[in-house]
Amino acid sequence: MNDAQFFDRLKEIISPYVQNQEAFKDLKAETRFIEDLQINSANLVDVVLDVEDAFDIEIDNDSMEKMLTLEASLAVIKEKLSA
Amino acid sequence: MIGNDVVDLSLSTFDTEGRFWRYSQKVCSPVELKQFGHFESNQQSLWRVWSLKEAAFKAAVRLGYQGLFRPAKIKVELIDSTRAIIQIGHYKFKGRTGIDQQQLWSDVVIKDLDFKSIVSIQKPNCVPISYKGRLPFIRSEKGGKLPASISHHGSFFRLIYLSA
Repeated sequence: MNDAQFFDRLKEIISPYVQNQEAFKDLKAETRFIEDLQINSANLVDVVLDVEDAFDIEIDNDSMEKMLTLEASLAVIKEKLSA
Repeated sequence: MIGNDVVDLSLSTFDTEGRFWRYSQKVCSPVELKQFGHFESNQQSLWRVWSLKEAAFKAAVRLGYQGLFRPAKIKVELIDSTRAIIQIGHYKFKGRTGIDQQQLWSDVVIKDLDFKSIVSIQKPNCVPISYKGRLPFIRSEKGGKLPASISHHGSFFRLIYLSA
């Protein structure tokens, strides 16, 4: 999977939880899940569970806390896949 | 100092039991998980503990806490069906939770006595709200500013403040 495919897969995962559709249309690597996309904090945990299922990885609490932007989440996913 | 959180239970269900426990393990300690089901259903316990953590985080930010919201690092001890103690860093709060068929709400304060002074508003746009940074305030009858805490989720809204 290349970077663009990772990006698109993650975009698909977060889509159901996004409340700010305008920000979602202009999604960038540095887009923040809570402040920009207005994903509520309870749904951030859903994003993590969906990422675990989609990529068949386990995300520990310390890594989960880093997943606040698309870029940071992709870094965690790649790290777990390469472990 | 106060903090609150409300959960719309209709938006907070799980497709499977497995998903529920995976979710719970992400946000609760083993000690907290052992309290599930003691005073309410397992799912209500999860949202009760979650809302107490959210409320305590808001109250701690008011007191100068600068960390991120890290639910697994906030400790909740349920005392009975309504009362709890919450610790975040070196801040300690008393919590109270109400649950009905559709929603669950938690308020936290520093002293038990403060619960008697809580004023709650369940409809948005009833009182003018001003912000200092991200912290909400409402105007008191004497013209001063009172710290407030606001939460909305799904169909539910709850604003609280301590009467002057």
